[in-house]
Amino acid sequence: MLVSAYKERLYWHIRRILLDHDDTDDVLQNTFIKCFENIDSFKGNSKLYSWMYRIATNEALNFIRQKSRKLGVESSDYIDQKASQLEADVFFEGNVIETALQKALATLPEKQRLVFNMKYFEELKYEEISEILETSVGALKASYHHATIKIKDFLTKY
Amino acid sequence: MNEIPKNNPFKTPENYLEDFKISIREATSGSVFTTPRDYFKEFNVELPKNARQNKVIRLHNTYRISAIAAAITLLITIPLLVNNRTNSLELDQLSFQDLDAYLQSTQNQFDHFEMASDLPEGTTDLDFMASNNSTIEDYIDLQIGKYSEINLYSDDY
Repeated sequence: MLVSAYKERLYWHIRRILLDHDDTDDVLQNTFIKCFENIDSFKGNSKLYSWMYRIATNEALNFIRQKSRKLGVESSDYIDQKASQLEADVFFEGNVIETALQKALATLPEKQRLVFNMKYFEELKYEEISEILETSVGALKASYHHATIKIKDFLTKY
Repeated sequence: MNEIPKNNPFKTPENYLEDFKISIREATSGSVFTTPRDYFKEFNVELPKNARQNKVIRLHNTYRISAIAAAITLLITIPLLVNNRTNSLELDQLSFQDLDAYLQSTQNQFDHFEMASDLPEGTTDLDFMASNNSTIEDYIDLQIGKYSEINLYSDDY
């Protein structure tokens, strides 16, 4: 029931972090397994979806760290590489602006990229993002503001 | 003529950069990322072999029975405890006003000589007693046990 109810939302959240479909598929599987194994520890002090979202986010970020460690590169460089390969990705249908936007996002620090994705694309409220990332609303607003400035800057130079 | 013009000939629509977010949203109304065909229909989670297939969180019957028994025990004992406390509290809270009112209401039933005989020597001076109310109240409070033994309905007079 959890899988059918949440698989799409979690998939798209992870996909925007990892960019690649196959990587997302792996992480989505791991996310549901983690949720299943740790359901007893869910204390109900947040929404179930926020809890699962948090697990998905952590799994995605851990995946990036592990992959970049294996390749001997920084996490930011790993995502940069993935963004530069988007045009060749069969599961990417973005136009020039959309491709540029993904490349701009890849240059952002991890937190800013997460906040921008969740606020701009997933249209979550700051309070919901705060519950998922366990960061104050004020700090999230600041992250989002800095992210938009950097994205505009990147796109104007692109 | 050989100089390269430095003026930028390109313009942007009014407020283009200020409205940047909205413009991008319109351009990217669909998701840029796609999935293999029927991916979500065929998506299945492969659980580890040692994981239980059907995980049901159930409250053990023994815990439930114990909880019910504990609740019944409390329901029985709490009223008993409250009653005992109430009785002693009533006596403790017996105010001087209440006692005075009681004595006044029953004074015709008391045998004054009997009352006087219970008082220690030297305390039958009414002026002394009247002028020192706290002493009277203190004395009555101490002697309340004796008054309770007086036959209030005695016909002897």
